[in-house]
Amino acid sequence: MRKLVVVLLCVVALSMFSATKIRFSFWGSPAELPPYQEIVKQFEAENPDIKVEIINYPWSTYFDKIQAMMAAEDAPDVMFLHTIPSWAAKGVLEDLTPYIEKSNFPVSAYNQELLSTFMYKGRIYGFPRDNDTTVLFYNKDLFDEAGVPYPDYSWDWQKFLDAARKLTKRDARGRVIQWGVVLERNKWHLWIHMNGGRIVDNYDSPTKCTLNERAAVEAIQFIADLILNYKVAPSIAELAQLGSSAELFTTGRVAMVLTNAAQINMFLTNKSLRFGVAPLPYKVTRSNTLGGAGFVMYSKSKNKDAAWKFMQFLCGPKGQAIFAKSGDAVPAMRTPETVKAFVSNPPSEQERLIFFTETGFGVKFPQIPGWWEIFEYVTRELDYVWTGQKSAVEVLEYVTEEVNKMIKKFGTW
Amino acid sequence: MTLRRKETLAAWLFLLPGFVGFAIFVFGAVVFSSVLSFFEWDMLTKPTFVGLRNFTKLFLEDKTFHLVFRNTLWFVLGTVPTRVLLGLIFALILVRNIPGRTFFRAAIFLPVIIPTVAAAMVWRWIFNADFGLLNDFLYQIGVSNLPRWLSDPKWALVAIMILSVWKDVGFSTVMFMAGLQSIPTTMYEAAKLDGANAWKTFVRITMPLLSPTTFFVIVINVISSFQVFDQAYVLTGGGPGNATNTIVYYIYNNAFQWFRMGYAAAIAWVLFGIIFIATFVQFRYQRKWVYYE
Repeated sequence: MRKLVVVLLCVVALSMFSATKIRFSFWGSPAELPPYQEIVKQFEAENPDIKVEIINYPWSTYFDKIQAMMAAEDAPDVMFLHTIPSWAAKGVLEDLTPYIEKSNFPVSAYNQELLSTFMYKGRIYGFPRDNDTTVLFYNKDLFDEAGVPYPDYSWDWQKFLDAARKLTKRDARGRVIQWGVVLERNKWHLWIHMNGGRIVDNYDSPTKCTLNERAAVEAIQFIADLILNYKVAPSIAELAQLGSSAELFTTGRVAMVLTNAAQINMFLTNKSLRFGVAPLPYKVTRSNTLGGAGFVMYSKSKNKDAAWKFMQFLCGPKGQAIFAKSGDAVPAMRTPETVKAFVSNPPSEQERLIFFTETGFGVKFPQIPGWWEIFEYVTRELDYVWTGQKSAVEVLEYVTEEVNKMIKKFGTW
Repeated sequence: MTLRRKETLAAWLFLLPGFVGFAIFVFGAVVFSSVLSFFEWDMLTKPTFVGLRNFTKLFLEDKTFHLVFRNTLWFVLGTVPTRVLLGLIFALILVRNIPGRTFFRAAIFLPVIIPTVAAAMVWRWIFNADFGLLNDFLYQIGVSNLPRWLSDPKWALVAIMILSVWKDVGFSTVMFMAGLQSIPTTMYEAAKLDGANAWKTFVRITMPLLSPTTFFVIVINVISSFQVFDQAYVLTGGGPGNATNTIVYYIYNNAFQWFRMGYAAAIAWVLFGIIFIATFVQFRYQRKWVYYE
């Protein structure tokens, strides 16, 4: 009976359209949908024989759903994922290397360091959508009001701290009514790298954790000092109550925020907000985040040729330019079109170019299995530093020991 | 077909959907998770049998589990007595014909039907250390060292408890009110004739006759408190650090964040064991204090 129904449905489906159908999944809020829809529309216009079905879930449930679909061997043909090697190791991703060679895909236009985070055992399993570059956004009105010069390449941590102190305002009861800067909970690694520190000894094949070394400890203590001693940044644990860092900046309750390009569209919702883009302050060295999610093909896809055709569009110059045009994403593939598409967005071309310079300072995450679990563990334990329960030295000492155990447990790919 | 047969058949047909649903989504899942607790499975690769490894790891090695177990236990100890006691007090007041009775009854019960997520969003602001209502109130009455509720690991669990008590006390209140109303008035009249004062009447008449309700309310509250999850999930995300991480939250993280299905199943079974023992003990000792007419 069930078989009969399935057969009948197939016949009906076949007679209705002969197009090959592929499924394409990604996470994101409704606001992030337009570039995806644009890409699918243009692709379908160019390839009338292929239909792309969009599957969109919010971030919070995306991975449960994808993983359940994989368990049922019925995952989407093309997926948006992160931490590509850990999925590739499980055999659920298609090795794209032969496809790239066969169709001459312009893989060299990609940021190679970023692309290396999409490789597993020397083979390419996906392409990054963008790079999660962090910059310093500042509120020009609040800077003018406090008489602080705008941030530029001369800013080191000291200048940054001095400005943050001048930009913080308190009421009669000592409560902060305007913060100098807002810090995000999952960006601690950035400060360690700026201070010349490392999370592990070797980012391509880590053997031990180095979070207990001086440079790392200093950096973590500096973040804690911004919150607890100088009181120029809201407590990271309280951020959730105050609203996201981008919300605080948009509403003018904070003068500076270190975040990525995706937040600009929110800043623009406040028409009276005059904001600028500046490079990150440096300490021992300049550094930035390198990493991002990207697109992969399901290894058990039934329409691999159609899926690859779609991926060539999605991850090729055209798709990348559409993502760049939205202004949300620093393109991972650098071609004249993608750069032009990205910089012709507010606030200004000159400021937009800073994203590309900063991307050049990017340091990727350690490439090991279980990295996200390690990252989440460290982030959780650091809460005790941000809340002043424990010192940076104390926490990083036992965290290092624990991470070393985890590195051993997870092994290598 | 005789009428009796027809009726039996109809009864079975009506039961069928519920039965099938139970078989697949409850019984099937229970059997599956019990098998799973002896395996390691990430939903992607083949499950591997690990014997009792999940359980030994849980009891002997996993410090986080010990921590979430302690947090959950504190939560149970903090909320159950409060909810039962406050529920009883509210019920005693609200069964009387006080002015505005309907309003207060609604006010007490309303939180029960508000979705936790919505309630937690509001309480996030109430708990805000600088501009929240709670700290403002404390400041007005002269407290100088204001707690930073949600960002201080020492206070975060207390904040979750306060929210939970506010949210669920209405349930206990309604149960107690029903219990109070089922006590025959003749008992009170007899006590009055015998010259018993209000306190004596409460201790000798109300408490014993209410004890089956009290027992029920305690059992239900203990079970639901051990399963605390959503308040912490929305309000604090288990943090700061692991300060408000609970057993069920840990199950969720293991299963749906880290995809360690076997380990999550093992924790779920341990939680079942804990709740089973707690409930069993309560049933054993009820004879000593629960009075059935």
